[in-house]
Amino acid sequence: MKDFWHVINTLPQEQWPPLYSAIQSLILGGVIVGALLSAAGYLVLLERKVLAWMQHRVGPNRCGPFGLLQPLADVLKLLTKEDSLPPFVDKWLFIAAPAIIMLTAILSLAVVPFGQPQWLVVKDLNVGILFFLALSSLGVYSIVLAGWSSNSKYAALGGLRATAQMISYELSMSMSLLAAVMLAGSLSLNKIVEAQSSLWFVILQPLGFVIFVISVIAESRRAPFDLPEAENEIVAGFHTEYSSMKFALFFLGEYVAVVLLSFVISTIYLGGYHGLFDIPYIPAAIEGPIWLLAKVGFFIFFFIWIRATYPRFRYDHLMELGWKYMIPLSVLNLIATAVLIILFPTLGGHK
Amino acid sequence: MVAIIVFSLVILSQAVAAVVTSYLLGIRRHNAHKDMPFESGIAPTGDARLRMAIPYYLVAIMFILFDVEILYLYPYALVVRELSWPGLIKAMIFLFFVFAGLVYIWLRGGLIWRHLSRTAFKKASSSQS
Amino acid sequence: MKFSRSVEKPVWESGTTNSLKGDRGIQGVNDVYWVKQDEAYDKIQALKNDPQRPFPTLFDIVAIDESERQNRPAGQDHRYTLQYLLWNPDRGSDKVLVKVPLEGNDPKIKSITPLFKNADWYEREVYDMMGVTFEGHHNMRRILMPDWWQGHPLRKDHPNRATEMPPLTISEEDLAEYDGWEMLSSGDSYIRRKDEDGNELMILNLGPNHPGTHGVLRIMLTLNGEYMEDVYPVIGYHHRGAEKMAERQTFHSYIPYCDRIDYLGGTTNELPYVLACEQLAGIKVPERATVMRVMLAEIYRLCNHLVWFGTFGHDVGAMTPVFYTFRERENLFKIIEMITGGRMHPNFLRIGGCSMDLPVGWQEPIKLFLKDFDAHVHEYDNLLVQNPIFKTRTRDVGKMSLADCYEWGVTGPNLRASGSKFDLRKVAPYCGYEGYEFEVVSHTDGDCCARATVRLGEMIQSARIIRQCIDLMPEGEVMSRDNRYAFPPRKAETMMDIETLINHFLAVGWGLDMPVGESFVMIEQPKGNSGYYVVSDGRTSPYRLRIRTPSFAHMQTLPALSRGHLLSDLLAVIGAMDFVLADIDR
Repeated sequence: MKDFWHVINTLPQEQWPPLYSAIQSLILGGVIVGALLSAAGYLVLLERKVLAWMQHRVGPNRCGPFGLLQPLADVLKLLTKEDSLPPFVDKWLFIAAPAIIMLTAILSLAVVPFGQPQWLVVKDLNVGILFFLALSSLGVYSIVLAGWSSNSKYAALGGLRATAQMISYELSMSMSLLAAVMLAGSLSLNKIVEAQSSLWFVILQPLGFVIFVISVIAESRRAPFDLPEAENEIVAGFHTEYSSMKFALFFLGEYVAVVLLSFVISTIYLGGYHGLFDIPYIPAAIEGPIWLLAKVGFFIFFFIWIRATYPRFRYDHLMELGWKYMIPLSVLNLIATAVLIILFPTLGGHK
Repeated sequence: MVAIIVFSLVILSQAVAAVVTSYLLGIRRHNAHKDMPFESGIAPTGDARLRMAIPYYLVAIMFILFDVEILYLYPYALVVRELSWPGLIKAMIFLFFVFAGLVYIWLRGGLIWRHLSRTAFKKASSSQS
Repeated sequence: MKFSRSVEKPVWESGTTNSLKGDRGIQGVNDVYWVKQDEAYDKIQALKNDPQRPFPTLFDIVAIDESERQNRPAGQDHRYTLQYLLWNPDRGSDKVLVKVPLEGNDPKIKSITPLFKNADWYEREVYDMMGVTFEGHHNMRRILMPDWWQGHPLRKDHPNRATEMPPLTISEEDLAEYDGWEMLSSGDSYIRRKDEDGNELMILNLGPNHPGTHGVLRIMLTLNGEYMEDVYPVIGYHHRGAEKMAERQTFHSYIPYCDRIDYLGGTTNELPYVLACEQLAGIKVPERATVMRVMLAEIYRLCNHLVWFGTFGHDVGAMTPVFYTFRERENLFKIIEMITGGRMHPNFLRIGGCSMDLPVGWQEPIKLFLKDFDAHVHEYDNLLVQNPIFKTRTRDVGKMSLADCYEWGVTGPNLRASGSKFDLRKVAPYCGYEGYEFEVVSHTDGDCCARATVRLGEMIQSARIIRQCIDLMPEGEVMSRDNRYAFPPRKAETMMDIETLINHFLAVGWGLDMPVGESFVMIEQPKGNSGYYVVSDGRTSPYRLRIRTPSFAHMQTLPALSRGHLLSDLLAVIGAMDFVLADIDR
């Protein structure tokens, strides 16, 4: 057994035997999915509680102490609701759409390094960032298909809005990521984290950081970019016709995306599992995950905070912000980063 | 690759399990009103799958253009240090064309999302010309 | 709660001011013209364009079914009276009434829509309620009642109650047809199915069951992408026949129904009705009651604007302001509950005064509230109105020029947001508003952002007026005692002598015969100018009560404000407009 861990910890992941790989990803994947789904449930509770405190309310407090059993009650309710499959919808696409959003949202987490040891990442892909970008592009399909297959006008409008919004902000998102990739000289998220052992990228990339944060909020369709599901305008947008667990999967997808994007922001700009100082009495192995989770927690709170504060964007402003400000600025950021790197090649942890 | 496939299977099985459970647990009843697309309680008129307005397509086309161009930059980003100044100059030439494309679209009015309705817009543009 | 009113022997002199059946004429308007049916259009045109004394605004069109009149002037025997209320806000709220007698059961008259844009809905309402057809109107169809309704409800021969009619049944097919598109598209110039190039447009029903329309409002849209080519509001889902109900209630027992007209406005609905009745009967209200009325009106104005602020924020996607303003409103409701016993529907004013005196120690809670409010109102300003996203969403959206406001009969804060300084409390003060120091808040932009700014400013001014009310509150009676039409003495006083007991019994159990006459009062409600036109035939209930509400006039401007904008702008426009469906449909 000792040999196994030795092999696992010293060999690069690429050289693992496929069976090890499969077992490791099955176990870690199961843990991640299980943790994420319950985390998403509790994230809903957290969001409701935080919003309530920000709005002079109490929030859910009926199910268990402080409403801690609320997620359980929600899941039970959603499971036993009528699973409606209206006759006017395109059946298979209608069912596939929520599954796709789940898949793309959670799968991205495969490349997020949770800590130093290699078995704390499902797969340390050498193109981790491209993998993340590809999956977030695929996520658009879910929304488009949901909007189109519903065959309902509000859903169609929501789908259109979502598509235009998500693909526009994807550009500035990948463009600002590019600068971080330049600094680290690698597409692997693990390498990017390692490159930040001395200096977090948020200090080298303040503009890129801001652009990236705004873009991911838009990408995850949360307030103030929640146009695709703006209830005052288009009722529930692309998931108007959904009910029961299929609706819940969209919901889960959104909250998983919040968690995921918080992970990605923390990993790329805030040093991932690197801490500011050593936490006393905590073994070094789990210190990394604690730091990472603390950063993720902050960004999750940040997302909720934003939601409580801002009014919603309008479609034309959203597009103008994306195309006329974010994209040119991220291009400038890219050029400036390239110049800086060539002038000071040691930036980003390079020897 | 194996790891990613296994991981996706884990996720998909979760999603399928959730949907199937709710399919088994929930009741299903149909009535005329439930079998109608939601349109604020009124029977819908016309199809929801109309031809969409041009600006939506424009966004999609512009996205594909720029996304492909950005992808070309990823290999460059990995070797900025090695290629040094000559590489930067070449990348700048490439970026110049990308940016020029954006400016061109901008100047041609492709980035104006706020106009009045198309009829009003047409009236305004015809009075100018 | 303790009341400080002393119980004395009432001065209850009957008939001191009016004889029982003496005709009081028409009160509350500056001039009345009787015009023949075929000359009405020209007369109204002449009045509108009069160089000396122009009337740029059509305030209301009222139709009265005269068939059951008992006390009519000699020589009058026409079936309907159609009256146009023209108004000039610029010349001290100058009002004239053009009365047109109409003969026959289903009369026809030339439409005045070419003269006044807002005549559109008013004429449709008259057609719907009275069956008077307007020739030349482009869309002469029912507006409040469903299209399949039989009869015209405000005619005297139409049943008053559901029990007087056979059970209402409607087949699925009729309902489908009513819901459907074809019904509304036939002969309708507003909604097109295709645009000029022959491209099919998306037809979208926003409402009646929609989270963004503030109630059961249906807006039919044709969309090109997200741009609204046509906007067509369909109202009437909240119609309760408030005007018809008045014809069965006594003058006093109708007061609670007023509360339900604009259910956010509380006593500001009762006020014009009560003032109109007092004007008809010639009642002088005690000083203390007047100040109480002003104070309550301003408290309700605050309530209304707070709700408006929160919901407007929600309409543009900010979820937090509504909780802050509802907290504030809750505090106000506690004060209202302390004073009146009610919250949204206080039923507090009476013809001749108020139903009871202020409770002991009423000043403290109000002062406490005002102290908090002054700090909070700036918070609201910072939270929403100063927010850059909010500004970009509301600037240049739903713009209306001052001239258009006059044309459409827009009043209240919406008018002042377009650059007018018109406020009835300043221009034609009622209830002694001339004695209070406050500013008329106005803005020149005329867009949704300006409307928000004006209402925020009004909240601060209302708080100022409430403060002055606390300082000025005189001692004394809260109910007029020198008029037989005023509300009868309290039950305790009826035990003093048999005469008072009989008076009380008759007034409460039977109702008092108001003097014959017509009376019009308009006041500055939180949402705009509301007018109550009371027609008395010398009986215990109004012969006809016409309620002109600001929301109706404002909702009519929706297509003009939002056509050509984005779907999101529609929500900003209806949010900034400040309407209540009950106030539109009555």
